[in-house]
Amino acid sequence: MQAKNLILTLIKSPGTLLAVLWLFALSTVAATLDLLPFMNPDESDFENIAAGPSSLHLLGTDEIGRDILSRTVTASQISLQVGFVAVAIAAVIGGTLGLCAGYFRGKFDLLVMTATDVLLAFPGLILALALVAVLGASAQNVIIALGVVMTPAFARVARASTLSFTARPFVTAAQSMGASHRQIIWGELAANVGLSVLAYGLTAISVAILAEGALSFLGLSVPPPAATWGGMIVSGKEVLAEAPHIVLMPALAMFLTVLSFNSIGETFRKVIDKRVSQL
Amino acid sequence: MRNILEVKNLSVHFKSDFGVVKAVDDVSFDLVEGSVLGLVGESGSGKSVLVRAILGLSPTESIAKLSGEVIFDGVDLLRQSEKQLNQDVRGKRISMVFQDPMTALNPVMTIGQQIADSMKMHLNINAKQARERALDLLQRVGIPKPAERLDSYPHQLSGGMRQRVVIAIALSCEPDILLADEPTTALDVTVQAQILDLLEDLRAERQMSMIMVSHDLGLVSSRADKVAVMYSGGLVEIASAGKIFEAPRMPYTRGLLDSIPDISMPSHTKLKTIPGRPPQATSITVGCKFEPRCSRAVDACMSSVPSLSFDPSDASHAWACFNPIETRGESR
Repeated sequence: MQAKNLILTLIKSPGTLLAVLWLFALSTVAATLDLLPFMNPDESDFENIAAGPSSLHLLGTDEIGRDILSRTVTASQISLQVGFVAVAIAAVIGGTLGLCAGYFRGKFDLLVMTATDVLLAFPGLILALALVAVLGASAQNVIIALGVVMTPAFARVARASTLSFTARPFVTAAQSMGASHRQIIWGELAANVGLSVLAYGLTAISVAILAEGALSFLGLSVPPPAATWGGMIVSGKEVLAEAPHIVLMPALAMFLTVLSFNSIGETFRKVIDKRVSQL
Repeated sequence: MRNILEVKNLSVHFKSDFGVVKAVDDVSFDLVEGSVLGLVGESGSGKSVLVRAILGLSPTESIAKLSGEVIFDGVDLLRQSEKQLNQDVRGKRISMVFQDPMTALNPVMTIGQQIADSMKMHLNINAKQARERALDLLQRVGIPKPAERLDSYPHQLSGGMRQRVVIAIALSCEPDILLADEPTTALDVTVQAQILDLLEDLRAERQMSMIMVSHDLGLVSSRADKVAVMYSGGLVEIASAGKIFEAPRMPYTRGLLDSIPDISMPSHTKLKTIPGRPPQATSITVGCKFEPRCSRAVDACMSSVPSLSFDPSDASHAWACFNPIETRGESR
C-alpha cells in the first residue's frame, strides 16, 4: 500500500517519470545486451570512420569506425554495474556502522566517527585513484575503490537518522516491551533509517557513475578496448572539432543517467521528508 | 491485600551541564495488588522518570545516581540484569502505556506486526497464532473493523485509535502491572474518558494493578484507589483518593485541587493558581522545596526538609509538611 503511494508520487511529475523511463530502458538494454541485435562494439567499419548518423550506424561511428550506439550501451553495463554495486556495498557497510554508532553511542561511535572523518578528509576522487592504481584497473577494483570512498558518507547519514529515531518514544516503547538491542536495531530502527539511506543512495549512484566516468577518462577503469563512457570521451577528444558526435553521445548518455538518478533521489527524499513531518 | 510492587527510597539523579538534577529523590510507595495508584504532579516533577525507573529504562549514560529498591515478586528490579529484565519483566509482567500515541508506534510497521512482535518476544507462539491474538486484542480495545486495521500503518489511524493500539500492545502478554504514563494527555477531551474507561474495564477484567501517571488531580482521584502527589522529585502526600480530595494535608495538594476550574463559577472568574513556579531542578535548596510558594510556611520549612510521615490515626495517609492543613473545618 505504501509502496504503491510512493510509486504514484514518483511518476506524478513528468520529469521524474521520464527519469524512471530512461533508467528502466537503459538497464533493460544493459541487462539483455547479449540478446539484442547490436553490432560488435569492438569491430571497426573501415568504410565509415568518424561518420555521422546513418541507417547503418544510428549514432555514427568513432574515430576508428566502431559503432557508437553499440559502444554506448555496452559502456552503460559497466557504468550501471559500478554505480549500483559500489553504492550497495557502501550503503550496507556504512549504513550498518552508522546505525550501530548512533544507537550505542560511546566508544564505538567515537571510533566510527573518527574513521569516517579521516576518510572524508581525503579528496574522494584522489583516494579512488590511489586505490585503483594500487589494486589494478578493472571493474571489480573500481567498485571496491568507490565503495570504500563512499562508505563514510553513508555512515554519517545513517548515524544522523538513527540519532533522531532513537529519541522517538517508539524505541522506548519497544524497550519497555522487553526488546533486546538487536531487536530494536533491526526490528525498529533499520527500516526507518533505511529510508534515508536509500534516498541518499539514489543520489550517490549518480556520484559513483560520474566517478567511474572520471576514472575511465583517466584510463583507470576497465582498460581499452572495452567500452566505457569515460574512455569513449577520451578517444573522441582528439577529433572533437571534426566529429563532435563521438564525444557527444557517451557524454549525453552519462548526463541523462546522472540527471535521472538525481531527480528520482530528490523526489524520493521529498516524499520521505513529507512522511516524516506528518508523524 | 498483598503489595505487588514496593518502591523503597528510590532516587534517580541525572548529570547535566548545570549540575546534578534530582529528578526523583528518595521516593517510597507500595502498590497493592489489583489496585490503581494515581501519581500526580506538575510537568517536570519526576513522574515519568519514576515510572521509567521501575522498568529500568533510565538513560544509562546520563545517570549520576540510581539507588533504592524496586521490589517486584521478591526481586529488586534495579539489580536485575538487562537480559533478565527483557526476558521476564518488561512487557511480560510489567508493561507501559505512553503519553503520545502519535510517536509511540513505529511508523514503518503495520499495527498487526507491532502487536505480534511483542507477543513473539515473550509467548511461545507462531506467526499465525500471534495474528489471531492480535485480532482478538484489537477487538477487545474497541477498534472497529479490526481485521482491516491489522494491516494499517499508524499514520492511517486517529489519535484515539492509536492509543487503543498502544494499550493493546501493552496488554498483549497479560502483564500483572500496567504503568500508564499520562495515557490521555495527548488526546482530545472527547476521547479521554473513553480511553480511561477502557483502561479501567481491562484492568478490572484481568485483575491487573496499575500506576496511572497524570498531571490532572481531578481525573486521577476519580479513577484511582490511592493517590500519590509528587513535587519537584519528591513525594509530598499519599492517601486514598477520597482522603486526598476531601482532606488534603499538604498545602501543595490543596493548591492543585483549588486549581481545578469550577464550571459552576460565573464566567470571567479569575482561575486560582499556585503562585510562583517549581524550583530549578539543579538548584540546591535548603528546607522544603515548596516553601517559597507556600502560604502556610513557618520557620522550620526554611531550614529543614519535612519527611513523609504517616497520620497516627490513619496508616494509609502520609504527608511531608511541618504545618499541615487542619482536618476539621475549612483551613486558613
